Amino acid sequence: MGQLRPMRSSQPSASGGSQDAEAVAVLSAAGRRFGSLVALDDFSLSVAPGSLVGIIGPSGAGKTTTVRLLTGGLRPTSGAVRVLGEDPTRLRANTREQIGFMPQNVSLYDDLTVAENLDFAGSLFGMFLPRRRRRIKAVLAWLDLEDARTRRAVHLSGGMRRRLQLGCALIHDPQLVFLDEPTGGIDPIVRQAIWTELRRLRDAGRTLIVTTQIVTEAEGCDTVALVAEGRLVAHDTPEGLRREAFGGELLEVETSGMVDAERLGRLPGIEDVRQVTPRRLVLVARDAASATPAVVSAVEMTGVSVTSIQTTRPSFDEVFVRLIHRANGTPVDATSGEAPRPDMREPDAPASTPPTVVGPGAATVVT
Amino acid sequence: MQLFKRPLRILAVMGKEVVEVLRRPKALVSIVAGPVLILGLFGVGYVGQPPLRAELVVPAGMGLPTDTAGFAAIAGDRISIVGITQDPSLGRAVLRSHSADLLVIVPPDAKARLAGGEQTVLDIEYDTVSPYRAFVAGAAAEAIVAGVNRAIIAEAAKQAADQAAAAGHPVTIAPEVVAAPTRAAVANLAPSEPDVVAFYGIMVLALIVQHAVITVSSLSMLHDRGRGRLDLFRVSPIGAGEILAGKYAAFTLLGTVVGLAVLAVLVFAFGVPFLGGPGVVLGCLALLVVASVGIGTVVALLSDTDRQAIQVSLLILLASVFFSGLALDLNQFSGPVQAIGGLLPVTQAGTLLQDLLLRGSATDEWRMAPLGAMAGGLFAVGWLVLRRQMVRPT
Repeated sequence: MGQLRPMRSSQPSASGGSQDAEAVAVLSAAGRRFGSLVALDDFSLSVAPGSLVGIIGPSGAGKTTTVRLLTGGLRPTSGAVRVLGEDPTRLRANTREQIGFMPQNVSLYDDLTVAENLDFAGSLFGMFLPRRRRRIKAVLAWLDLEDARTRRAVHLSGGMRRRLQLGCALIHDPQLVFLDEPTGGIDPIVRQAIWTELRRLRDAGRTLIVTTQIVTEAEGCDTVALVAEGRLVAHDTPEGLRREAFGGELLEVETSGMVDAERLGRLPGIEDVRQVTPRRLVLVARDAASATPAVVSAVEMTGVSVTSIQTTRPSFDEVFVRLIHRANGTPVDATSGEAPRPDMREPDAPASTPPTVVGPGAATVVT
Repeated sequence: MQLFKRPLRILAVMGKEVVEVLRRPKALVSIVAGPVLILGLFGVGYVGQPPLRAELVVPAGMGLPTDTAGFAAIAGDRISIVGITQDPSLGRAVLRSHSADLLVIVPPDAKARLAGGEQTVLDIEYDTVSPYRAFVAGAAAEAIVAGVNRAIIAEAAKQAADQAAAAGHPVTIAPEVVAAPTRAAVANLAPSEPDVVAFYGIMVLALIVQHAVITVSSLSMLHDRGRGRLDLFRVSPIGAGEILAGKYAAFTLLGTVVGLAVLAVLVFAFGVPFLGGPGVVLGCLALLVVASVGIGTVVALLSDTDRQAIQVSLLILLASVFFSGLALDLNQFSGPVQAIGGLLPVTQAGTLLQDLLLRGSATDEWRMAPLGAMAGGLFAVGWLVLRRQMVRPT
C-alpha cells in the first residue's frame, strides 16, 4: 500500500483548558441499556486530539455500542456523549464533514465500481468534483486498489472490500475517524500496512478511534481502552496496561541449580516470584533494569550461578486475558496471566510456560 | 457553502440509484422488457368473448328453420348454433358433454299456445360454475329468445296476412315489421372507439409502472436500511430530505422512461390512439410514478425485512388488479370499496390516461388532485419516517 497524504495539516492544540475541554470525543459515565440488557455501563473515556485510540474487547463486550454512541447511532440511556463539542445525535453539517466512519458491516454498493463507491462517499461529505477526483486517485493508490478502480464492489475479495470501505471512510480527509473493526478479514500484510497508515494519519494530526478484536493490534495504539461486559476495564498506553496487568515488569531467570524462590521474593523491588521449573523462575519487578543486579547477587549468594536473565515482554494476548480475568474476578497466575489450572498449583510442574515473546527493548544478560 | 453541497448530495444519491438499476441487466429486463412482453402477449392473445355455442331443440311443424344456417340469422352474432334436434334428451346430452354452452328448448305446443293467445316459455339451460359465463349465457338467452320470438311472430303475421289476403283484405304491413316494429341504430359519440386491448392496455400500462416503481424504490430503501448504510448516512451531512429527493429523482426518471417505453409500444405496435396533449400525458405519468415511489419508500421504511416489503408490494398489486377498474368496473363495487380503490395511484392515473389518450381530454379532471395529494403526502410521510429513523437513534 502507498501513502495517503492528508489534505490539510491540523496539529492538535495542546494549550489551554482541561483534558475534557480539549478532547474531541468524550464519554461521561455513559450507559446504554436495551431493555433489561446492559450493553454499556458507566463508561467514561476522553480522547485527545491527534491520538490513536484502540477500543479492544471480546465479542459482545460493547465496542460497537461505544462507537454507535459516539457516531450518534445510539443515544445513551445514562451519562453524556460529546463529539467535537456537540451531541453526536445532533451534529451540524459542518461538523459531520470532519468525521469519518467505517461501520462494522460492509456498507458498500455492490453494483458500483470501486471508484464510484469512493466518489459517492466523497459527494455525501460535500466534496466537489475536482477535489473528489484528486482524493480518489490518492486513496486508490494508498489502498492498492488502482487496478480495481473499475471493478464492481461485488466482485472484490473480502479484504479488498474492507479496504475500499476504509477508503470511503477517509475519502474526505476527516479530522476524527471512527473505525469499527477495520482490519477484520484482512490478511496480515495489508493489516499491518493499514495500521502503519493509521499511525501516519495520527502523526498528521488526525484522531482515530479504532475497535478491534485482534488483541495484538492494540500495540499500535497510543492508548487502549479495554472493554468487557459493557464496562471499561482499563484505559492506558499499551505499556501502561502491561504494567497494570502484571504489577510490574517480568524478569526471567535461569540458574545452574535450585534456588529458593521465597528468598528472591523478599528482595526490594520484587513484587512476585514464580518457580516455573527447579532452575527457572519468573519475577515481577517494579523496575527490571534496577532489580537485575540484586537478583543476580541473591542467586549467586546461594552458591548457584545465573545462566541467563532477561526481561520479558508479555504479549498483549496475555495482558488482555489477565486484565479481563481480573475484571471478572477470576483468580490469575501472578506471572503468566492465565487463570490457574490444577496442575499449575504444583511449584515444580512444567505445565505452564512463561511468556516467551521478547520485545525489541528486552535486556538480556547472560552469565 | 452548505447551500451548494445540498444539490451535490441529492445528485449523488440520484446518480447512484440510476447506476445501480442500470447495472442490473436482469432487473432492467424485468422492469422494461418484462412489462412490454406481458402487454404484447395480452394484445396478441386477447381475442375477446367467443360466440356461445347453442344446441337447439325445435319440434317439427313450428315454422322455424330446421337447419343451423337458417337459425344463424335468428340467433345473431353472439351465438353459434352447433346443432338442432327434436329430442330434448339428445340436446341435454350435448350440453353435458360440453359440446354446447347453451341448450334452447322450444316446447312442442309453442305454436298452438300462441294461436290460443297464450305465452310460450322457452327453456334455456346451461352448465357452468363461472359467474361470468353464467352472466354471458343469460344475456345470450335473452337475445335468442328475442330472435325466436321475432321468427314466431313473423311466421304468425305471415299466416294472418295470407288469410286476410285470401279473404280480400290484403295487409300492407310486412310480417317482419310486425315482428320487429323498431330497431336500434347505435352511434358512439366518443372521439375514438378503441378495442379491448387499447382500452385495458392503458390500465395495464399504469399497473405495470406502479408495480415496477414500488418494487424498485422499496428494495432500494430496504437495502440502505438493512446494510447499515443509514448509520453511514447518519454520520455524514446528508439529511433525510436529501436522500429522499435523490431517490425520488432517480426513480421518477426511470419510472417515467419505462412508462413512456410501454406507452410507445401501445401506440405504435397496438395502435392505441394518442389524442391528448403529450405534456398532460407525461405529467399524469410522472405523478403516477412519484406517488408509486412514495408507496415503495413508505412500505420499505415501515417493513422490517425484504420479504415483508415484497409481500406488501404484492398485496398492493392484487388490490390494484381488483379495485382499480382493471378487472371489474369500479361501479360494480360499493362506495367504501370504491374509496379504497381511489387510494391507489393506478386507479386515478389509469382512468386519466384512458381519457387523455382515447378522448383527448380528461372527463374526470379532479382525479389529478388525489394523485397529486398522494404524491406529495407520501413524500411527506416518507420524509418524516426516515428523519425519525435517522435523527432519533434507537
